[in-house]
Amino acid sequence: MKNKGIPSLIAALPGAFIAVGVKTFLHPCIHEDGSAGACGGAGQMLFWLGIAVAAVAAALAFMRSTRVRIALWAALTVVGVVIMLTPGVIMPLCMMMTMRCQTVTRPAALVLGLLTAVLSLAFCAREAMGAAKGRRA
Amino acid sequence: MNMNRLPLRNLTRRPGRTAALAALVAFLAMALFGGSTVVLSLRRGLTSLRDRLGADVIVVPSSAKSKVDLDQLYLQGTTGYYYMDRGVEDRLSQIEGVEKLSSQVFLASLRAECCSIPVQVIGFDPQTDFTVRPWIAARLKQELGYGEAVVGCKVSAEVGEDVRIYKTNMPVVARLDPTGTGLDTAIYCTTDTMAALLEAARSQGHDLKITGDAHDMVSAVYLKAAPGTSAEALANDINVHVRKVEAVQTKTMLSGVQEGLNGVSKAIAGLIAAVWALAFALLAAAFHLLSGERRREFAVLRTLGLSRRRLGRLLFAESLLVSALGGVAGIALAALVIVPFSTLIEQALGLPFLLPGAGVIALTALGTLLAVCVAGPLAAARTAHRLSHVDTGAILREVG
Repeated sequence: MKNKGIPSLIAALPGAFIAVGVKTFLHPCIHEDGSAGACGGAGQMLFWLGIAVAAVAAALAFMRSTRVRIALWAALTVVGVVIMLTPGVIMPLCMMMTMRCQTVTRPAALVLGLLTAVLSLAFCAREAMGAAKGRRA
Repeated sequence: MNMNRLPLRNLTRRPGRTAALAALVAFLAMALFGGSTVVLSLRRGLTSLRDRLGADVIVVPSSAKSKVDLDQLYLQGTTGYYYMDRGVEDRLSQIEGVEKLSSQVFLASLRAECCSIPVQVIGFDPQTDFTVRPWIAARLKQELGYGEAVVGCKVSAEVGEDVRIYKTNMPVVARLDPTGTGLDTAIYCTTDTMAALLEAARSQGHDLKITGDAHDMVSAVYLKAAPGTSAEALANDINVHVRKVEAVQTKTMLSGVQEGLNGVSKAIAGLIAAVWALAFALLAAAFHLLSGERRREFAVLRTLGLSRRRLGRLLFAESLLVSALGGVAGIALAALVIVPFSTLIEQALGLPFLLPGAGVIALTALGTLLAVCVAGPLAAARTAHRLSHVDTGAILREVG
């Protein structure tokens, strides 16, 4: 594969966006006294998943083994799906659908998780096709 | 070379140029699909609100004025809590022109019990109610029992689960269809259940400013005007003759919502028109500029024996492919913003917002795709005409 840096950078962006976002503009509910809402756990899990996506995607820029690269892209696809399912399915959110965790954090995780999954799947397929072509040649 | 595959190969060989043109078309599609979906959602929200407003006049204690905007009573997620003596029902029933009346009791839960904000609990009298029961009946076949709760669609408690209000567990027996208003965030129970909740709140030291028996308290009385009586006259009559209450016409609430909707619809229509004019002009300009770059390519194709008509069709096919690609991307992007973030949009607009069904959304997407697939080739039409009439010899002689 000719260019490893650009796909890695593209795939790392949604992860970094999630990690930075849940600590800033995409944060879940916070009570008036500053304590976390019932959705605090979902926020924490999203933060670490975002870090994981960004780190693995960045590491992929330096990986040489095609097999390992394909496996890591596949793993990132799964992590993308896990990000989509984290708020509300894997981790509980607040009860009211009008609250911040339901109106901001959850849809943002859905969109960014979908983006991570689709991009990783596309890069995985590209890598696998490149490897198959190389074997034929 | 298969000439039918030439448009696709031209596009894939120049990914940067194709992506730039597709991005412009995506912009058109986003504006049209996004704007149309928002307007359709607002219209559906208003229709839903109109259907759900069973009462002509709502009577609340005068003190409620300082707690809620009465004209926005239905749109607000939190209606607050305020009480008056149940005796007001008797006084209102004596007013001429009242066909039927029913009272409701409001209570806000403590925020720590389930959420970071209080949940509104609404108690209604099943014997007299004509505003809540008709739409609860669509989801609950039996009568709502003591201690049971029906939740709005934006309270995320499923049927069979419990909601806990003032340390009282209430089993959820039904979830209501969405209205796109504050009614979606409320929990409904009977007035008997509500009296128990009020007592529970009082026993836990929550100051509800109630004196006496909780069964004797009401928050609002919903009135239906008798045939031939105008809601306005009835509301005025109540405001003059019944002390310490405020009568509000539901029609005035709706007209406020209608005005807001008209304003937003006009703004969106203006925005779509501006975006289309700008993006269409940019697209035509982009095709025109590219024609300069592609003159030699077209001259070579002419010398290879392609007719002017075939050349025109080639450019038409390219613009159609770019339009389809950009259209699908734009629709997908707009859907990714509007569908998941619909509640946030509703809160930002402060108007009833109810996304249309999947069928209507799919039709809107199809209409948008058709519109951009017509607009793209139209923007390229002049360029196609110009390129198909190039002076082949002169162009090929230009650069030796």
